[in-house]
Amino acid sequence: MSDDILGDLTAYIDGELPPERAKQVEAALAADPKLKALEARLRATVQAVEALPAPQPSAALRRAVFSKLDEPTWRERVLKWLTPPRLVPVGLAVAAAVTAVVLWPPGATVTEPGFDEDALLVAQNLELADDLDVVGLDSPDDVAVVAQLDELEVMR
Amino acid sequence: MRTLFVVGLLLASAARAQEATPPPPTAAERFNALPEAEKQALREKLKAFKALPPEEQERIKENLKRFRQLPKEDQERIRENLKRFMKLSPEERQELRERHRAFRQLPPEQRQELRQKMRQYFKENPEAREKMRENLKRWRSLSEEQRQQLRERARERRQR
Repeated sequence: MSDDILGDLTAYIDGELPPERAKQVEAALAADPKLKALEARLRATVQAVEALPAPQPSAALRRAVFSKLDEPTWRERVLKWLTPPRLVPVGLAVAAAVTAVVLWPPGATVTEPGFDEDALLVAQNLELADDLDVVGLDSPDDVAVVAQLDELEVMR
Repeated sequence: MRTLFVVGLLLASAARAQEATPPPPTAAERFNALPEAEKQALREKLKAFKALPPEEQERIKENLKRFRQLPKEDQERIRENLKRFMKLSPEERQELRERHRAFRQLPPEQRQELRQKMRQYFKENPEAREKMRENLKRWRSLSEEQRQQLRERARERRQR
């Protein structure tokens, strides 16, 4: 049972894999009864959950859980919950949830600048975007020189 | 990916926590409230994010926190700069990235003084903002010898 296949199992169940990759996962499922059993359990779990009314943990509970995702003790708690570890792709789930929290923290709204389409872009380029107006200058004295560049260029 | 969020919700549901006053909507609630197209866009971003090396993920997370802590005025300035940057050609962007790497080699105090001086100039001369940026673009294209010549002319001009 390769980690590679395991990593794509949830995407396979959701029908999100490209056809070729889906075929590879299907082949692995056909060749590995344990993997097939895991897939069946995972699929059944997801279907069962989806068939239920939407889980309604209290808002306070959800806030508390999501706000703790970044804390080191959370990982330990998650790992404790998952036995056997292969049953659920913990790493991916936590990464997805952490990333959702990081990119979209409590309090932000869809229209708020804190989270929008280019939040990731801003974060990726923050240093450069912050310094864009001074990139290319070597000394504070250059600011005055650049400000009067037109006049200086025509000076003899 | 849907499964991942179901799993995430299961984990959230499983960990019982203390009750409290009504909080703002959680990330999961806000995610669920999104139109499907926006959910998909966010999923794509998460995938792209997860594909990055851990240290790059960490840098982005820190940057995002830092950005959100900045005054609104600075956030707007950065967003505006980023828009201008993204409008450049790939070659121009690459060149700016290289120049930025060189800029970051300057001593921190010098960088900070440069930033303050430029912000002061923009504050005192809001009408000259675009002109300054055009000049800066031209300045970047000059050779070091040409720059030195212009610095000397500026010095001469001050002494007159």
